[in-house]
Amino acid sequence: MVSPVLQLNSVGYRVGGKAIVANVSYALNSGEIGILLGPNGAGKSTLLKLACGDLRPTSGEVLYLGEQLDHYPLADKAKNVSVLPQSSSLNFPFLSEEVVMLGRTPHSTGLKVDQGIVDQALALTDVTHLRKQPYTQLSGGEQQRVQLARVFAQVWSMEAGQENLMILDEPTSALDFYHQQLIAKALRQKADEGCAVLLAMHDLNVAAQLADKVILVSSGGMHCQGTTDEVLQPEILKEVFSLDFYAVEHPESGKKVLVY
Amino acid sequence: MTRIAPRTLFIFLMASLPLAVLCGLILGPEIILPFDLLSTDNTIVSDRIIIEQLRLPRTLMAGLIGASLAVGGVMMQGLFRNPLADPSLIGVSSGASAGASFVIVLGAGWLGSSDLLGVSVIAIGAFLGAALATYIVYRLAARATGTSVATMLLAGIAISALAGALNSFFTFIADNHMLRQISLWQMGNLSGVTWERLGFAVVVLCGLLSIFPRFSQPLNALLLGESEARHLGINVDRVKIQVIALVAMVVGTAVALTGTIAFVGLVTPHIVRLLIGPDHRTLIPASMLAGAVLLILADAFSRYLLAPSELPVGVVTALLGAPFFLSLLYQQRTAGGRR
Repeated sequence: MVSPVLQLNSVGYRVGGKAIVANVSYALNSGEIGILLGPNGAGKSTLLKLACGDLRPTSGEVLYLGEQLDHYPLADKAKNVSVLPQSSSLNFPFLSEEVVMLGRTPHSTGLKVDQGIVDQALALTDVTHLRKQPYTQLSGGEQQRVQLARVFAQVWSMEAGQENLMILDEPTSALDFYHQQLIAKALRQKADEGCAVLLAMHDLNVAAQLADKVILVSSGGMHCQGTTDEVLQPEILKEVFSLDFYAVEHPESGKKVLVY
Repeated sequence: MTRIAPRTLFIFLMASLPLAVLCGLILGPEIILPFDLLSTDNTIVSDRIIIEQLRLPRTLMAGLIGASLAVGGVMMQGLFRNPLADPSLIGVSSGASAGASFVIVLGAGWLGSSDLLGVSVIAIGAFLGAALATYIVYRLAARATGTSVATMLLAGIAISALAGALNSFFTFIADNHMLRQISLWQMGNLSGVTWERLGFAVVVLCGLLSIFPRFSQPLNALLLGESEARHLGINVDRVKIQVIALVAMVVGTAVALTGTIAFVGLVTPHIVRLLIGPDHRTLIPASMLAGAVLLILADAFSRYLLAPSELPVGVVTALLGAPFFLSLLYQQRTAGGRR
């Protein structure tokens, strides 16, 4: 049996006696997009940090390809796992393309290959026209797209016998509608190539469109998980977000859309 | 402001370096032109001695120290992800000052001003002071979970203050002669460089300086943030320890040999970064060259401006560096941008 790319087994995280995350289990297979949903402070970011190894769980275990995540040497892990944090503090005037090139740091594929990958990554997140501009002079949404291009470039191609994983904390939080859709499409394309993607976000409809698996968390615990149809029900969402939701039909596609 | 190609800057600096050295040999209380040395006059012999025994070692030392201070600044700014950082943040300079004052005031009595390997006892005191201060700062910031840069910054400020207090205390109990020695040492001083001392500096500093370029990639990744660098496969904690130890050794040695020379470590990397961008693969070597050129010129002018007496070189580095730096900042600001 093939082990999942990422697996959390009853993971918990406590700080000073307070449980930030308690008893969360889920598994993500290659080619799957898993989306964490939940209100502010529910523990989404903490869960992502546990999943990428920034934090070590105080109970339970995080497995990457069936092995303890922290057993992997940093340099090896970086070739297959890329991470986008919620916010970034880069305040040195790297050009956009230089930022994206940093994503190739773990690889030794040579400048020519890297340059090609950087070009494609810049195009993928629609920042090619900003490539010669200093990162510090970009708007928030543009910066986010450059950082996304970096994260894409890091896991651009899959090495034999390896599985790629992207972990993204609110990758579309600063983006306009057009670019939200663009990034959603790019992530879907990445997943179709076999990359596992785990992300946290707030927009239920983008999540519904994108996710293979939805994980709904509230106050540090798992509320429920399943497919979008199973989880994104007005009654379930009301329990977590304390807000009335209505499922209506999209006038053109006929798909269910959530409004509140 | 737009960047220039790193190669252009390298060519410019490589061309400036010999010119700066030439400047260092020519300028001084007495201007000695190279072709004067060709005739066989009697005064020429003394000129030749001035050049060979005084100006040449001194100029070369200035270049070496300038490169060391500049690269120390680059590393600190990269590590702290702050363009205003310099080696004094981890207590190197203040520790060295306290160490030097300690030796001048308390040690002079029973140690005399003897030399070991061409290095004065004061220099040894300064180096030990720098090393001790950095070590304490590092210990305070080190945790089981890694080293906190913010804590290190605060610890650096606290230890610098402590060293400053010690320094004031030694200054307070010093007599007039010692006082002058202390204040001269603190302003930075390249006079009295001998070939032995230069040899010592070349062996120690060149060896250490050659290690710095291998930190280019880790520092580039570190500019994104610590967790980002870790996810790019960089062992952040190991890089931090190694960089701090290296900077402490290089800057500690530089400060021990020539006193605290202000401004070179802060401004040189900044100027170079404005010109060619923050990529450490080019920033580190270019800053070394620029620091060398800057300090050689500053030293030459320090000997020439108030001849026959000598201006402290730290004063000149500030006078040369500050206006240039400000004009670059001004250009950057008028060039626009969101920042």
